[in-house]
Amino acid sequence: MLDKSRLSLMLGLCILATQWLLAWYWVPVDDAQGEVYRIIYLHVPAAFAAFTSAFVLAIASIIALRSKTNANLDLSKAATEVGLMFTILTLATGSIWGKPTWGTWWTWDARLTTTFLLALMYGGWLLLHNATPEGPSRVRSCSILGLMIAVDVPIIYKSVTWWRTLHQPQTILRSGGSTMDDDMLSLLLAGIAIMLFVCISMIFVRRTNISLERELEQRSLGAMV
Amino acid sequence: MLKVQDLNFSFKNRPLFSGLSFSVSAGDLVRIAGPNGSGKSTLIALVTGLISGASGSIEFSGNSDFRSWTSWIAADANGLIPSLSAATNLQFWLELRQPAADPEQIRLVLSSWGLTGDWVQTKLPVSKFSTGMRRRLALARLELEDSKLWLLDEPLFGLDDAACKKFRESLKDHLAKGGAAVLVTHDERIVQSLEHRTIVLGDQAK
Amino acid sequence: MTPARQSPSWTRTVLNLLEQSLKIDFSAKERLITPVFFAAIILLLFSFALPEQPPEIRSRMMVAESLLAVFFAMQIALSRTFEAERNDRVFDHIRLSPIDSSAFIAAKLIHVLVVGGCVTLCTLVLALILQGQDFSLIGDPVVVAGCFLTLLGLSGLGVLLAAITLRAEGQQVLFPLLYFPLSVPVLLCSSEAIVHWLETQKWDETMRGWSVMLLAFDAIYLTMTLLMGAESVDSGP
Repeated sequence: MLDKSRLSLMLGLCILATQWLLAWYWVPVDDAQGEVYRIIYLHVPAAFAAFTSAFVLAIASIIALRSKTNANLDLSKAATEVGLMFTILTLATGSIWGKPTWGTWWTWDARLTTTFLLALMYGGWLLLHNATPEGPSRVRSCSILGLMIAVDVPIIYKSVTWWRTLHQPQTILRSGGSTMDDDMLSLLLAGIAIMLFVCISMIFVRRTNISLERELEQRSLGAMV
Repeated sequence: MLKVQDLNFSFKNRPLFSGLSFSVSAGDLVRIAGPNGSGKSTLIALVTGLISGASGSIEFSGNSDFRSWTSWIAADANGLIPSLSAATNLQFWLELRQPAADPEQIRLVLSSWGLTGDWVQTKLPVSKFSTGMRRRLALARLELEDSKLWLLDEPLFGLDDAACKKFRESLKDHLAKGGAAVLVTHDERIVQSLEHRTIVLGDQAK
Repeated sequence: MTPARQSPSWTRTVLNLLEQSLKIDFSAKERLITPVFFAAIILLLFSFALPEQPPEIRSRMMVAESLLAVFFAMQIALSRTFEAERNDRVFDHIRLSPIDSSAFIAAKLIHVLVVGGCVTLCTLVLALILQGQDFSLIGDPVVVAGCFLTLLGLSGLGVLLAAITLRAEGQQVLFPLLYFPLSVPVLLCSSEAIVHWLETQKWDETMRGWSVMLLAFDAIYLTMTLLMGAESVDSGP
């Protein structure tokens, strides 16, 4: 049976596929970068989704800290997993885009560094979750770390951007985003909105799955006793 | 001092006890008995608050922090800092409860528990102590803490006959002075000559 | 039996806990020596890894090397923050003592700061010798303040992470995985501020910006440590 979040996710994925088709066939080619720029329609929305997951993680962590139940930690775990997936997608698409435009797979640019740190923090959160036994201490530890990640992300972004902007301003502004025409920009904004919808739906679907997994495990143990 | 009402606790979907109720007043000795795995240590841990997740109520009398008038002995550990000496350990733990600890009193109590001599009391780190010596030190701390309620989980673990006798004397004095104790033990000898109540765990789980 | 007993004050409790932590350090001296030794090894490795530096960038290199050496050495000290309490259920006994858990965290924080201060001082002296710099640098109030604020941030973060990984399996491995990415901003702000000061000796806009950001991170980590660290200590298994 399909619940609301699954239906939302399927709907979101269908619209996302349509947006990608439009990105491939409808919007014009970029003068400077050619066809390769089309990856922006995946890369930028994925980055927004990665950072939105940190916001969801913060809210979920506050709820879990207040209620102190494992059920509320499921939302944090779902947000972190989905966030990590989108962060890796952002890094991968950024690398693919960077090779033909910057001539390198990786550079220690501000945004790349911040996104890389975010991936490490999401990974750290999941490791802590797996390494801590189920119970109040797991809820508390993971929620505290979740809050730290969410609080840190915008400030790290600010400090790293400042650091790079001060020293290597030429390496940051490479993609020439400000020269986008209206069709390109509107499709990109639509893509971001759809990706955020898909991201939130994914988080809720994943949360339901995590809760079901735990319930199944408890029932199996109960049956054994 | 302590009132436990309708306590239910399950571990990994296995009920350990349900509807458990008892109370402890001044001068009471309550023995918790039952086979291995029946939840005796779990009950002590629930009462202390070291673990949570039980339904029902555990109430301590008065408004003050119950930790200031209860002392705990664990079955599997003594709560001693291994790199410090016996006297330094006691001084540290006592000063978490009271503004200052009397070194002379510490020396006297240590000696009464068979930990005699300046070398053993103040120089030798606890890590060099035998299992029995560490238990004696933990029981010396219990005596010095001078709490109203003792929560004891197998306090005689690793002790010889002389130390067991000393512990019984100490427990007797404590009860005579209006103190109370909840005691988990398989050793009948401790409670033989003392008036006590027994709560048997394990039947409810079956 | 004494029915109503006066409890020790919060400050007295902090001092008692701090005194025991320092006694533990001095009874097992390797706890103090290991981080300093580790920092020295890292400085030595830098001398192999990096080519001879021209004089004009030596001060910059010295700051970068020293801060990184302190950072790695602190990781060793911080991951062992609650090591003594993990043995023999000492931690559970502390939880059952009538103390405010914030006193326990505050004592740990001060203890880490004291150890970190010793490590930083030793590392700076070594780095000054190895880079052929003037010793008066240690007396520069801005450098001292920068080092102190760096230590404060790293200690706050480290104590909190040590508290939340207290019950985790493989804590020794997990700790650096969390500590490294979260400490990047503190290191970045402090190294940029100190280098800028050494190069310009001016308290300008850039200097103010990095200092404010460093203070902001210190405030975030210290507040979270004092609030959440105590929460973490109180929580059950």
